Formats: sequence, structure tokens, C-alpha cells
Amino acid sequence: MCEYENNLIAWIDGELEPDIALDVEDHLWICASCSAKADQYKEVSRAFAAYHAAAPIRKSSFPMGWATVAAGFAAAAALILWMLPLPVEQLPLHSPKAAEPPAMAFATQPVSVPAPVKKVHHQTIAKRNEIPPAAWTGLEPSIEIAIPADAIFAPGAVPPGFTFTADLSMNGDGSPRFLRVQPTVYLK
Amino acid sequence: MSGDGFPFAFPFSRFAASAHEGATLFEDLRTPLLRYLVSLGLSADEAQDVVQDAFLSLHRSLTAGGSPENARAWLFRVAHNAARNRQRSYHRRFGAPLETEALDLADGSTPEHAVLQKEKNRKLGAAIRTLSDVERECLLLRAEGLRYREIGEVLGLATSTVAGTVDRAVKKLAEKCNV
Repeated sequence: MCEYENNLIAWIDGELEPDIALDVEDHLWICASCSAKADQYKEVSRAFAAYHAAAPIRKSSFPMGWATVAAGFAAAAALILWMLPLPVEQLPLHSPKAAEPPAMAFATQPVSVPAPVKKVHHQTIAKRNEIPPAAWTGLEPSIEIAIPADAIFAPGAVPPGFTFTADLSMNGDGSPRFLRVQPTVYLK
Repeated sequence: MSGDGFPFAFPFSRFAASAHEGATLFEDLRTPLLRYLVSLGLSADEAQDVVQDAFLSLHRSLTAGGSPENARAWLFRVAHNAARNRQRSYHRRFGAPLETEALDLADGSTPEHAVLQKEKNRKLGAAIRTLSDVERECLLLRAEGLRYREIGEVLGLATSTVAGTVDRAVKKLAEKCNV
């Protein structure tokens, strides 16, 4: 057995002192046996990594990916915001029920509105569009909504202290400029 | 609050120049940690719990003034110890590792190649089962890109012991698999 054989794996891993590594490299040029062994060790290391890369790391009880959650939440937030007639500052921050009042208002609106529903609706939108370029510049987040983690994840999926914040920025005409959802951790 | 960015921004700033890099550190290490724990035999759910706990421990340790030299080795060590504390689940899957999942690797090739690949995976799976716990752990951590010194920190071994264990384990696999 070649004396270099016990250095091959450490050499592959880049764990040898530079001068010893150079020795091994010189040796590999002239020793077919060590060269073949080195290739074999590389191959088996690669196969081992690939074998375990297939490990099922997704949570079984929660198959949705983060992207799905974020996208779903963004859509919900945009909808809520569009329906929202009241000044947003009045939204109770940190309340899990924050989203519900506007949803209720939406559900009951058709009942309370008199016959020419369409016309009223147009007026509402026209009115909304008339709002003058308001105090905000559009570059800063216009609205900040705190969402308890339990509202979007299965209970217990997120450690205590985590919550999420949605920053929404709108253009002067009321169209959304950007929506950013980010996790936030609160420590005592 | 809107300016905070990533929740771990503050403590990670000791390793990373910005909150963005702190977030990158979390994303870079989350999957390797999960993969390591699942390969040790934890269920995906248990692994997620352990990883979250590990990151929170790091956060707590740093805010308390601790300063682990190497966040990667530190996180792997905390996760490894948590996994070992769940000895029952650790051994639950140990005898029957990832053969079904590993078969998926054969996708996208000719039937002959798929059969060959399947056979290789079967051999490899059998070879991996002949490794001792510590040999397997060393190879798993090595596959996640840890240096021998870091593997030693995780497993509580001298760097030279890790070098010997890795050497022995790779040779064992090569001999049994004959790839």
C-alpha cells in the first residue's frame, strides 16, 4: 500500500498543510493507483451527499412553503386594504381580529345600500380617486399592520415572540406601490 | 419597527456587516441544519423545532453578551446535542434510512440507467448502515461543508480524531460500494 494513501481524503477536503498537499499533488501525477483511489473517494463522497440531500426536511403537518404563505397573505392584505373606508391609523395594532371589521362591512354592504348599487359603487371609487396627493410621499410605508404569527401559521409552528409586519406603501391615487411582509421577533 | 428588517439583525451583526447578511446566514444554515437532523433520524417536525430552538438559543446567547467564535459550528453543536437528547427518535429511523427518497434520484434517465442508479443507491444505503454513529455524523457534517475543526467542535472530538474517522468512513464506503 502506498504511503500517500492515508493522506488522500484529507487532501480532497483541503485539510492538509500546504507543503504536504503539494507533495500529494506531485505524487498523484505519477501514481495511477492513488489517482484512481482519489477519484473513487471523491465519487463516494459526492454520492453520500446526494443520498442525504434527498432527506425529507419539509414539515409534514404544514406543507405550504413560505412563498405561498407570503403571497396569500399579500393578496389578503391588499383586498382588506382596498375595502377599507376608515382611517388606517385606527386599526388596532397587534390584534388578531384586526382584519375582521372591514370584512364584515364588506359582507353587509350590499344589504344596506339602496337599489342603484352600481352607481353608488362608482361614486365611491370616484371619490376615492379624488383624494388629493396626501401627506405621505409614497416612498415611506403608508400603513403598518402587525399580524400575530398564529394568524397565518398552524399553532405552535412559530416560536413564541414571533409576529409579522406588513408595510404597505400606496401611490397618491390609491394604487399600491409596494407591500412588504417581514417577520419580527419581540423579546422581553 | 419597519426599519428593523430581519428579527435576528442585531445579534447576527457581530458576524455579518448588515441585517441583510444576517438574514442570509439564517437562510444559508437553516436547510443544512434540517438536513443533518433528518439524516440523524429526527422527523421533519422535530427537526424544525430543534432548528428554531437552536437559532433562538444563539440569539439569546448573543444578547446575553456571549460571542461564539463560529456561528455555524455553534448552531450545529446545539442542534446535534438536542437531537441526541431525543434518543428514542434518534434511533427510530436509524435502521431504515432514506432508501425510498433516494430512489427519486434516479429520475430523468433511461430505464437501464435508472436500474443501475437504484442498485448503486441500495449498495450505498447498505454501506452507510455499516458505519458507526460517529463515522456517519462526521460524514454528514463534512457533506454540509464543515471543516474538520468545526466537526470536532460539534461532536466534541479532537481535530485529528475527526480526520481519522472521516478517512476510515470514506474508505469503508468506497470499499463496500465499489463505485
